[in-house]
Amino acid sequence: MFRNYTKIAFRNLINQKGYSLINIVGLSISLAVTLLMLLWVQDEWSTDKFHEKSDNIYRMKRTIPLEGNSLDVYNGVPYPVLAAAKTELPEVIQYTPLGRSFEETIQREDLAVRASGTFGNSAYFEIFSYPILTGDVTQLDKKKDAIAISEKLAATLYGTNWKQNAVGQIVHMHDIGDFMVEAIYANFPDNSSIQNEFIYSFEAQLSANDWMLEWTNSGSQGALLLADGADAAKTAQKIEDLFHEHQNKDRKEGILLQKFADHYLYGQFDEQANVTGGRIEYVQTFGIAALLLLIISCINFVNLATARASKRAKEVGVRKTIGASKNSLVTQFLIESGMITFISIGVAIIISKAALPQVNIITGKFLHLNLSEPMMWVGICSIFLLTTLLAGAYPSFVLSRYRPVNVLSGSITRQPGKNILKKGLVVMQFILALLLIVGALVVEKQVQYIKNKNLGIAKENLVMIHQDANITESYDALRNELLKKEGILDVTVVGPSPLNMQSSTSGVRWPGKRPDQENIEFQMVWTASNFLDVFDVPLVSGRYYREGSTYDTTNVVFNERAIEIMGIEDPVGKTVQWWGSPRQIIGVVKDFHNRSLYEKIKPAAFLLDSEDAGWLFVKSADTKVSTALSGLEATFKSVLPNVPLHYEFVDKQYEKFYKSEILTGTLAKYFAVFSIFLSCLGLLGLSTFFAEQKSKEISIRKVLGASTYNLVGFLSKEFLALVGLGLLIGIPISWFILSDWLMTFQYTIDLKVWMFALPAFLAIAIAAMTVGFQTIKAAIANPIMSLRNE
Amino acid sequence: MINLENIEKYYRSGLQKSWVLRDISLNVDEGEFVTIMGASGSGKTTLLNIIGMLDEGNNGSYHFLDEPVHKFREKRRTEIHKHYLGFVFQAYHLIEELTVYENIETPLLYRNVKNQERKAIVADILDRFNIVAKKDLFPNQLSGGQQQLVGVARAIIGKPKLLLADEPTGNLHTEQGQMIMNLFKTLHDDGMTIIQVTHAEKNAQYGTRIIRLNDGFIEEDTMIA
Ligand SMILES: Nc1ncnc2c1ncn2[C@@H]1O[C@H](COP(=O)(O)OP(=O)(O)O)[C@@H](O)[C@H]1O
Ligand SMILES: [Mg+2]
Repeated sequence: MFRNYTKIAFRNLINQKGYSLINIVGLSISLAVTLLMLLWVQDEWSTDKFHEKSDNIYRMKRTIPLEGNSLDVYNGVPYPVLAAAKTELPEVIQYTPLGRSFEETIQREDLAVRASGTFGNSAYFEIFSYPILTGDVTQLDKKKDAIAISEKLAATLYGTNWKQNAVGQIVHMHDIGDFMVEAIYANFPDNSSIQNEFIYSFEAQLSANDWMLEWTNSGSQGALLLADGADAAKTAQKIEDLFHEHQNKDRKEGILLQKFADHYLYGQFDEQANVTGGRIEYVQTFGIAALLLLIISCINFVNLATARASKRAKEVGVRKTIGASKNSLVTQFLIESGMITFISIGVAIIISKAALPQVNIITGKFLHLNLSEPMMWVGICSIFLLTTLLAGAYPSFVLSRYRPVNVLSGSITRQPGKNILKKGLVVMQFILALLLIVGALVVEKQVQYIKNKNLGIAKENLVMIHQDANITESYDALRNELLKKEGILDVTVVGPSPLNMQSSTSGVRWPGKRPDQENIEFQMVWTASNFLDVFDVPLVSGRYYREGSTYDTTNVVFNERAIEIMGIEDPVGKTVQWWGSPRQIIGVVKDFHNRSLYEKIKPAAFLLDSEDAGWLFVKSADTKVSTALSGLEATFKSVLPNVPLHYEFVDKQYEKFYKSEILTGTLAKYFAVFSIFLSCLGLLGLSTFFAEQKSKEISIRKVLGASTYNLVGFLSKEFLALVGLGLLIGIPISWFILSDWLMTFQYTIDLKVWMFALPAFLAIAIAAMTVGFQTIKAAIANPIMSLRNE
Repeated sequence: MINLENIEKYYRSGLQKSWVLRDISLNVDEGEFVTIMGASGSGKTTLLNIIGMLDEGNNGSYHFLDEPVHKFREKRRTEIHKHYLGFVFQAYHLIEELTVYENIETPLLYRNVKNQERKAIVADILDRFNIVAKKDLFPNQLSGGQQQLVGVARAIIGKPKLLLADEPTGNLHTEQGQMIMNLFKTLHDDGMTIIQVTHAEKNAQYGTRIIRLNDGFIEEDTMIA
């Protein structure tokens, strides 16, 4: 029986080439997209879940009570809280600090490489599943000059025999000094959200950063390993109690434990510190978009299959009279759709394989389609079954219901319901297509907006260079040399980057500070006196720091937002308490965006201290960027011959904030193109079939004198009405969804009518062309041909 | 074998009923060869379809081998189709995508006949109908008479108790028609019950009984000696 079915399915496939082609092209494209998306979703999903102790690893977070009753959640915690959690609580088995990864130049003899890494202790390797390949990682806890490096870094530095040659060797780290390689660990897997090529002794970090030992400094991050069965909420409460003993405030900060594996996808919290989402929303959006594409091409399949159903009706009638049950007919037609899906999946796998390198470039991932993996086949088989059912269930249901008495006498009565469904599906396709197109457009516009927004601070033609001890020491010489170079306009030092202020304090007091303002954080930037000039930031009142003035270090400059929060009238000359000592406000700087556009402008204080400022900024003339850069390189060679130069453009750096948005924009464009293509493919199939069915009517009308123009109108009208309806319904839906998306930003474009009208117009134009092509062909055909066929 | 009592059939068009069959009562015994005749539109096809369980009357009762067909569910009807009935159509109704061999084989597939046995049965019938040479052709490569031969072969391959034929020779030349009628006669001689619809008096003479329909009534029911 099965053979009989497949034979029929196969012969139908061959005999109805156009029909099969439309289905296979449509399905394989959308299946390829689905498959690739599935790989991506799976990769996102598996991120950080590979740690064997995953269930017991928690990231410690800190909650801050703000004005009103709301809570803010921060990743930063004081290091002593981490350490105390382990020593005081039996259910905390281990803790490790999590350093921010940074890029560093590592030198072994003449060989210098750039790699990123951070500090850590041996518990780091006990908590996480990063296997040690050779050496003794506990040395990280015992020796200040111990470092563990990745297999990859070891191979780069010590060649293929790294296993024998690396351990015990000294490497020179340009910013942090000399270290001895004590252990080598396997490269962190691709789906680890943390990527470190070196981990140096936490003791070294600690001795250079004694602030980490303060109970009130939340500049550290960390993870805990809890005992099996420990209640995370209760443990968090106990840690919070420990923490509270060291805070002398009325509104104390709290502790929250989040599963380490959840941190990556669920990084956002609401005002009650409950998880609201995060990256997971992107994962879901793209998962849904891929599903929508799959649905669009399944709709094509359903529509074409039901449109063609009358052609198969006779066969159904005959089979029923010779004893076919409904079930066996359903099976037969499911096998037919299964066969088309099967071929499409084959093609889709080929397409995916070919597209994967490009997809990896776009998504910045290392996805691979590994067909020898059983899980892969589970995925493929599920897609296969899902698609076969989505596409085949309804047509087989319709077909198997035909009654022989109707179909064999040739008097099939058209059931009106079926047509409504077919029309409804076309309408739905274009709703989805419009949603994807408008989505692509709006996301693109918002990304453009972000890139080009006037932040109130200049980010163009600026490069930033991480400042190490050498640079700080020779800063004056360096600056003098640089200013002599052609194209270099100015040089300054700032830290942290004023476009992404990452250092804050709640240690500011002012007359009239309310109790509920206790925890308000003020961002801090350390600057040199020429800060405003280099970044083109205007002063609202007062003055900025004077060059060479030591007196100015007891002064402070705020931005407008800070003054607004403190509610100080005529601020210049007034005094605030800064970490317990008075500072006079000498100036107010106009507000500029000092964080991502997801966030409102933060209150900020600008301090004078060029030694604590971590970044060197070099501003070049608009038209002489490359001249300035070669000047920069030459200067470094002459002034600091041993310090390798690594610079980044500030505007490129700024775009990295919006990696997800830029990715969304790119992917949305692909989805938009595919969705309109697939929808029109379906339309092409339907109109072909429609024209075929109506060929006799067309011929008669033509003989009666209808012009080609009339005929095209007659044939296209209905389809275009459906497309139009779909677009009309799609507009408010996409409006709603996109304005919702835009709400995640604090600063956005306005949705404009043209953003909906243009895609709608485009969609209808493409649809008209698709249908028009087919109907013109039908309309200009020789009427004798189809009349004679009767 | 067949027992119809007071079968009525009408179609509604708007508020009006248009009658197709009125008060049909009929007994057909096993081994009979019945011919239904009548003017176009007199309800012959409808009656045959009701007997063949493709259609139902609006009123009346129908017993097939003493089972109440009017109470059957679809499943049971399918069973009866599978095991007791064979259909031959005026327009042949072969499955276009299947070869002659496969068309004939299909009913056996629905009966789950084993591979070996199936091959033997199909080979046998191809031989008997003299169409072995045509077995790998598709229906559109055959003449009308040949197609109908395949149609008959397919109808009887499952050894049905009852063969129903609606104007089986309607689309055929006289010669081909005669061939089909001779085939029917042979089948009848071998013991098969046959009910056919035809317009040709000559074809009726192959059978044992003629039922004439007029406007939905049985006008005449005669045995042929
Ligand atoms: N599905 C239907 N709907 C309405 N009327 C029908 C339908 N099928 C058949 N008829 C009518 O029933 C009558 C009998 O049809 P039929 O049994 O096919 O006649 P015959 O086979 O004797 O030519 C005809 O008048 C036909 O118009
Ligand atoms: Mg008839």
